[in-house]
Amino acid sequence: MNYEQHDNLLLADWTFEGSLLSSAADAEIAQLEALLDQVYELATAHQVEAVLWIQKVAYSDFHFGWLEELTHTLLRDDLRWRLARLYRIRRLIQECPVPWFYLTEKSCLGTLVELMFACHRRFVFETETWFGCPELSIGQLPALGWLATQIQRKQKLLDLWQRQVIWKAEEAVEFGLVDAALSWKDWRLVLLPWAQRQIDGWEQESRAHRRGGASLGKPLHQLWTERAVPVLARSHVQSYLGRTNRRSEAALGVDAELIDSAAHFMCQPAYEAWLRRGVQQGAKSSQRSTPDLIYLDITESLVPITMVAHLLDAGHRLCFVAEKAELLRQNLELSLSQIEARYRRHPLQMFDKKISWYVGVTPKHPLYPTIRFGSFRDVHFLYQGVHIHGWALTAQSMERQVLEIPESQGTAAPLLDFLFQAVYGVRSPSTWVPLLYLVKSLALQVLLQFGRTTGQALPGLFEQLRGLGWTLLGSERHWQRFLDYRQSLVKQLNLGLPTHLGRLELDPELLLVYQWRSLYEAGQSRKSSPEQKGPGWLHHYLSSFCLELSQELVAAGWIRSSHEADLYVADAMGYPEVWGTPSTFARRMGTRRHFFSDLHEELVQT
Amino acid sequence: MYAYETDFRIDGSIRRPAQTQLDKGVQRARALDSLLLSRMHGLSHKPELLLYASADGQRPSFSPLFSRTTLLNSLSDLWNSVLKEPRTSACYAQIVDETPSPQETARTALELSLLKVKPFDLGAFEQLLESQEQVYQPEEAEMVFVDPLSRFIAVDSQRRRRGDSFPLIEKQKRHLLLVEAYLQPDPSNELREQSLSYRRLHGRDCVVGDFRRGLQGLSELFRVWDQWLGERSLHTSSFERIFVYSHIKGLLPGCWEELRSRGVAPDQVRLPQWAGYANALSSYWEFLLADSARTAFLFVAGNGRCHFADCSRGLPQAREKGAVP
Repeated sequence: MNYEQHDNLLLADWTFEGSLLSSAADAEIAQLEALLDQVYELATAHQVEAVLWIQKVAYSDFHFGWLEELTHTLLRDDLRWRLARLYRIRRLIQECPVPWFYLTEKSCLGTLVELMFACHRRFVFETETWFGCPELSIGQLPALGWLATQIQRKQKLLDLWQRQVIWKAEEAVEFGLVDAALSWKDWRLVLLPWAQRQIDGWEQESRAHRRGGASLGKPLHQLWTERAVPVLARSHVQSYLGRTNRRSEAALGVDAELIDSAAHFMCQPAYEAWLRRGVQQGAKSSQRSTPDLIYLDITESLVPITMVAHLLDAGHRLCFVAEKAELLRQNLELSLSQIEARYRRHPLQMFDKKISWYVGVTPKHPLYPTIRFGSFRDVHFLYQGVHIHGWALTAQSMERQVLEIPESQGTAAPLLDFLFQAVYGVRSPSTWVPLLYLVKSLALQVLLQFGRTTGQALPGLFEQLRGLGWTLLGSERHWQRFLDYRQSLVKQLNLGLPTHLGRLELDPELLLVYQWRSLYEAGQSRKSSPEQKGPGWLHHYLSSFCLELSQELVAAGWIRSSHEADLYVADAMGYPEVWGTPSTFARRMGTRRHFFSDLHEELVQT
Repeated sequence: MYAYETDFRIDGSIRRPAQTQLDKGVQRARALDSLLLSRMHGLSHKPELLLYASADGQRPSFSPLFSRTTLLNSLSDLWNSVLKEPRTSACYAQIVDETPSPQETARTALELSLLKVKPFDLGAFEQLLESQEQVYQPEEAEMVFVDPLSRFIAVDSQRRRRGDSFPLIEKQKRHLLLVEAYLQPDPSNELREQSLSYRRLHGRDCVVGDFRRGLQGLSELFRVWDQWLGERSLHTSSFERIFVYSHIKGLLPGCWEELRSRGVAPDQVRLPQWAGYANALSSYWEFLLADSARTAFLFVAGNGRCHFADCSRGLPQAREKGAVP
């Protein structure tokens, strides 16, 4: 708490991080008292006309230090004394001869909020902020007496306050708790002249209306809804409201009943448990809710639109990076037109403050999470010291984005949670070859096998697959890319690729096919058996292959559980979307397991 | 009188993309963000403070990433925020897209009157100006801008050289100047050992006679400067580069005469605002980021409240032994 005088204004900063209830706040409370003494002195000498109180840090009672103190060292009398001092401060602010203007850009929840309400005018310069008394949700009345006074006047207000314990800035304006919530960023530059105008406005208004701080502007007919106060809540609120002698106590200046019962209530295990939960959630939510900055490197290929939209929806800020300006421009145009199609409004208007870009190279150890997609859907995730290299299983256009990472990096998988719908830790036979590659090779082989045995050409099969909903397997472009990748992989690694997946052998001839044309030739029909062809059979054949494959993956120890293997196969093969989620598909595969035991031998033979 | 001496680590760059003839507001906001983000990406830990300066005072839209944000309007703002709070790491971003009030009539009048007061050797000054072309050119930056119709425009040096996409740029010859830096006062010891980006900065204010009344202050200023350098056994020749900045161009020939009399070569001097895209803040940063072992900065203000500073680079121990030139 610092304060300084500017002409007829007293500027006070609130910079204390921690809970006002903890012993760490004692110095702060003493400073507040000193400030109040000075304000009263200056105000009687007409040397100050207003106090500007600026809250510079977010306030909440969910503070680890306070929890520790409450658990281990707190004495109830100390707490009661602290509350009494705060109560007096609140009253002095409220009855101050000069107006107090409260300005903030940060949220204010808990004890401090009553001091805020006691100020005569309250302004918020950031609309993404929250105000209120979360402790009301367990039935604890804030102990500084502002709300208690309100409730004494109209007991029905309690319902209203308990129905919604925290408000967003705009709701708080509607409710009359905050005079204005503006997203006016450069208010600090014009703070002093603005405050002068506020003082002028203040003097024009009659003081009688304003005294008493915030008043509740909601009409009473909205308050009829009865909502049961939780049992715990009754103990404090009702014990307070049930007292008969509180008037005489209030005459002393401090509502001793309120403070005694509040201090008592805070020493109960229920309050402690609530505080602990709040601290834990707060620790989590402060990580989650502050929108992170995420860098997307689009030098090699675009980031899937699903992921971008997902991140934007979660409130993250995005920065696109590419090495060359021209490359960045092209990829940005593509990405943003995709976003535009998705959100039906211009993304640069909608996400003006969320999306940015720069031309440059991704550093090796970036400060913020950075994700880069490569040619065959390989993904690099860089974050401070962490580097995860994996393969995205599904196509870029798909809603469900899943990732395969080597099992050795599995511990880092939780980092990727916010990016992907699922992450599989897979023990791949070789560190450089993804399991996905083997699965795709095998799928291609199975398709060719089916074509040969039924006498159908590959293009026909693809058409049937698309009709059935196996869009990924039915996409010729997909297979072309796969062949390209395989060629580059063989060149890069100089052979040494695995030739079988468990007991399922890979066709060595087919592994050397890199040309689309020769793939067609390899799929030429050799014999025809017309009784077993058609889409139904194809689907039947493929799903039993999936089943077989997932069993093999578990048996070979590449994936741990059979359910995970089912899901993996469903994602890697591009499950038909029309049939539901991959877990639906996996469940069906799981239920089929019993009935298709006869197919097992048949497949191993092929 | 304000004098300071501080150690810090600084890392940054000054870049110069071609200015497109498009909506300036959008461009500036985008460029400021991209400057900041490119710097943040390369860092290893999050700076607490954001310092920024931009002609329109528009706050970067990514500023909520920092716990504090400060707009710098002048050199004294910079000293206040950097030197008075020495334990805060800060990110700095600035965009300069115009010369400091070139069309001001009062300034022109002042310059003319200054020229009348004392005739300078303009031939020598022109020689200095010619050498300015070679002294310092910030690297050209590639950027992607958005035009008012939200189309993307890639501005890179290659494209511009061919001149096919933006003939306007070639004609107008205007540039933005982008400055970004990361500043860490009081670097820890391991950082000192590994980085050459470690600097030691000395500086002080100097109040001399008002230049609006006459040029008597100029010789006084340089006398104080000599004296100050002499106290620390330095000489003009120990500086690789001397940055001279004044809002009033008319003062520069006088400064050059003084410098020349102290045996300073033309390629040792850099007149940042002569290039047309600089202001006091950006030239001070240019001075801080300069790729030289020892640099000096002279700020000659019209009202006589001048400032000089010098900055030496490298490890303190090595500097004492003379290992770093």
